[in-house]
Amino acid sequence: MSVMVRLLLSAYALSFLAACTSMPDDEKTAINDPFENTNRKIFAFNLAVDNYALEPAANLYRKTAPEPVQRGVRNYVSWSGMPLTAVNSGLQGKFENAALASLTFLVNGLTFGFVDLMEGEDQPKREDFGQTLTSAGLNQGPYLVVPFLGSNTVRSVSGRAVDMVINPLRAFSGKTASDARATLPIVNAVSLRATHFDTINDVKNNSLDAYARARSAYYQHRDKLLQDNLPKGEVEDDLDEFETFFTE
Amino acid sequence: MTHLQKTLLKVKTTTCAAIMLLACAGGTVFANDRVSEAENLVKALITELEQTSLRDNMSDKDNKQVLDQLVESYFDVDAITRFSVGRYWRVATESEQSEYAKLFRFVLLNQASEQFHKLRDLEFKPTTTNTKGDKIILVGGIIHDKSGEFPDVEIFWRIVAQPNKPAKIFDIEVENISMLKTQQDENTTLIRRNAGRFGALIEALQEQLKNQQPN
Repeated sequence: MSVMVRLLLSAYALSFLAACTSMPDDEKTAINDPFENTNRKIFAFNLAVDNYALEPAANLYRKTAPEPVQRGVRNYVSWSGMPLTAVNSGLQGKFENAALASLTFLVNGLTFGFVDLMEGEDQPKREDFGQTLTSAGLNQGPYLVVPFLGSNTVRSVSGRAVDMVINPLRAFSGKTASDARATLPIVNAVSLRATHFDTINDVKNNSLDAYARARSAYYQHRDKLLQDNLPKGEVEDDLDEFETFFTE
Repeated sequence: MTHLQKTLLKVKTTTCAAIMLLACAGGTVFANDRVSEAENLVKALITELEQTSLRDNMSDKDNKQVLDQLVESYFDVDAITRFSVGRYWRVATESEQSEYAKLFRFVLLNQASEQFHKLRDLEFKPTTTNTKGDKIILVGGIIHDKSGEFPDVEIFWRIVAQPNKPAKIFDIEVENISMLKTQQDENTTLIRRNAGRFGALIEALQEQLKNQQPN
C-alpha cells in the first residue's frame, strides 16, 4: 500500500513538473499529453494485446453467447460497480445517488446482478474515486496510457487505485467471492469489447492515427462524465469551440 | 418636469418597451422556426436513409452515389472540412485545401458505405432539442437496434442554423463523443507530428484511400 501511495505521489510530482516544462507553441495541444512518445509505445502494446487476446475472445463471446446471456453479463458488471458508486456518491455529497445505487445493489442482488429488476426506473449515475477527486478540485494532470487499462489521466488512474482499496465488495470473504473479484476485470473487458466490437475495430483499422482518435474519444467521454463534479465556475462548455468557429 | 414632459417620457418608455417586446417575440418566433427546421432536417434525413437502406438491389456504387447526394443535401460539407483540420486550414495553400476537401470526402464516403447495410435494423427515437447560442441547435435522440444486438445509444445531431442560410448538419455526437471533434484531433495531431506540414495529412489520406477496398 505504501508503495502504491509513493507511486501516486511520484506521478503527481511528475505531472506538475511536466506542466512547468515549456513547450514550443507549435507542440502545444488542448489535450495535456507531455508523455506522448511513451504513451504511444504503451498504446502499441495494448493494441497487440487486443489483436492477440481481447478481440478474438470478444469475437468468440459475441458469436457464441446468446443475447440474453450477454445482457446478463453487462448487468452483472454494472451491478458489481454499485457499492463503489454508493461510496463515492456519498463522499461527493450526492446522497440521493448513493441511496439509489445501494437500493439497486440490494434489489438486483437477488439475482446476483444478472437481471436488472430496476429496469425502467431511474438508474444511478456511475461515480468513481477519480470523480470524487475532481469534486475536491484536484487537477486531472497529464494523459497516461496504462498497460492493459488503456486511456487515463494521472487523476483517474489514482482514482482507480483508491477504488480497488475502498471497494466494499472486498468485505465479502471466501473463495467464491475472491474468484468473482479476480475474474471481474476480465469479464468486464471481454463484455465491453464485444459491445463496442465494430466501433473499436473501426478505430483500429480506419484511423489515420488510432492513438490520437482514442485519446480524443477518452477526453470527450470523461469530460462529460465529470461535468457535474467540477467545482462551480469551472464547468467548460464543449460547444464553445463549435460556436466560436461560426463567429470567426 | 412639466406635465407634457412627463407624458412624453411615458410615451417614449411605452414605445421602447413595445419595441423591445416585439423584438423579443420576433426573436422567439425566429428561434422556434429554426428549431423546427433543425428537427425536420434530421427527420427527413432519417426517412431517406431508411428508405434507401431497405432497397435490396443496390450495388456499392449505388450506395456511394446515394450517400454522396445525402451528404450534399443535408450536411454543411464546407464547414465540416474546414473544422476538421482546425487552425491548420489557414496554413494550407489553396491547392492543398481543395485536394484535402476532395480526399476527405472520398474517405468518409467509403467508410460510410461500408456501414450502410447496418442501418436496416436501426431506428431513431427523438428525445430533446436544445439551442446553443444563436447558431447551433442540438437535436437529441436514441438509436435503437431492432435486432437487439446492440444496446440503445444516445445521439445528438449538431445543426448549424446561420441567418439567411438553410439549416445543415455539422456534427454527430454519439455517447458524448463528437465525430467531428475526434476527426479534428486526429488530423491536427498528424500534422503537428509532421512539423506542421499540411501535405503530410494529404499523403496519409491518399495512402488510406489506396488501402480501402477497390471500387
